[in-house]
Amino acid sequence: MSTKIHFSIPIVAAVLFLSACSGGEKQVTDQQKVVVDQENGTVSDDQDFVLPQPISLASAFKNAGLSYAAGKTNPASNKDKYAKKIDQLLNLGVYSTDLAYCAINNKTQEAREYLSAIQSLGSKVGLESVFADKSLIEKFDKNLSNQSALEDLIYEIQDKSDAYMQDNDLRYLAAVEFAGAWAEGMYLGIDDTRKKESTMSTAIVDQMTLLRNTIKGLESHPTKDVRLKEVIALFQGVLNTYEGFLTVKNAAKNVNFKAPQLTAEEFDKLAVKIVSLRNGIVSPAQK
Amino acid sequence: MKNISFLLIGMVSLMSVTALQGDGAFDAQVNTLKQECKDLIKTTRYEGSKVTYYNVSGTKQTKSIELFMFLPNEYQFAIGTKKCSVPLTIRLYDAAADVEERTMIKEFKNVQGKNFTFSTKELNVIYRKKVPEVERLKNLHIEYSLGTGKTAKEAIVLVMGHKA
Repeated sequence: MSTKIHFSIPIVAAVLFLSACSGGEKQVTDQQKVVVDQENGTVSDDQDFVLPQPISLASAFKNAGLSYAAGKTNPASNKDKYAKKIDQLLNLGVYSTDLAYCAINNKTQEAREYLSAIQSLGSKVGLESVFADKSLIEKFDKNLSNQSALEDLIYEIQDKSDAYMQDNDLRYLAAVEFAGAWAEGMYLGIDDTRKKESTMSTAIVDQMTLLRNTIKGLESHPTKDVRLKEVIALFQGVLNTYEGFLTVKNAAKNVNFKAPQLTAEEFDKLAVKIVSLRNGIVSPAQK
Repeated sequence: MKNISFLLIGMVSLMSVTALQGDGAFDAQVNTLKQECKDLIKTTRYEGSKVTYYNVSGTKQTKSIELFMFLPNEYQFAIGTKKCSVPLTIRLYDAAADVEERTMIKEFKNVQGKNFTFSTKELNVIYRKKVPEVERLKNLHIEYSLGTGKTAKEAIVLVMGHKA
């Protein structure tokens, strides 16, 4: 807090000074720069976190036995129906997971469509410089037959995207994008827990450990609009349900120890919540 | 009176612009440091990064970062402390500070002003010796214990990646 006060006084004066000396257009530019610099001046939280890449989450599920199911992902054609910024960001995350899910399962044509959808949504949310790169699709096409190279490319895109958001103090955008990616991954994974119970249930429980930080990330968004509040409530609903399970309450707090073994009934309850969360993201009610 | 006001505003503004330019230079140095860290683990796939900003003061402080390693692959970490001037100890734990039975896996003392790396390959060996019932680390808590010094804005960079 003290940092903000320390920076805000000279910043106000600078804005006044620049306003007095500048024309209208320049004035806006300078004010924007000042705001960005002010955010750079803040100190980090005492407790922070790094969330994994969507492709790592998808790969962890694949390692646990998740098989590809055609038609489960969010169709790329839905990209144009997201009008609100929050929905665009969330579905940018959803498509990041879908892209990874297709790429690691060698569904290259589908992956290509998702990359295109990501470019389109990425440009809408202000990440043009990351996603408008025309060579991206060319690189992708060149590596269609090389799964490992495709995965490398996806990690490279995430790296560029992260760097852009960090450099421009847009980390809260990354948090919303991650929330969508997490929800889609859990949605794709939760059904398979019935087929490969031992491995997939561990993978699901592992990834549930991300939820608390995912919610923190969503809450860090400076805009507290109605849609964002709705979305946070959906995520919180999943967390409350999960933390209410007896197996979870009795499990060790240290997540490196044995993961809680959810009962079939608990998995069913969790699945209902996950499906509802994911559907609430990919098909937002039009208002 | 009007002239004095303008003069004052101008002086404060000049000071502010200088401060902001200083900040810009600081950010550029942090970005360079981040790139150095990336280069240290360039054989890995980028998993994430975190720049921890803090203000040095007369009081000791602690900052922590939680990391997740869901893949069985080897994860590598690079930490850049060239923008840290105060005594720095980094401790790696298997759980957050509020978990009673947490285990310290490794400690790096007086690591301010340098770049260095470590990986889950070595950490898992140490961890399994300390806690035999665990398979491997999936969750790591990095704690920066920062000493005191002259007031300044500083940063520590962390970059992580995993081997394909």
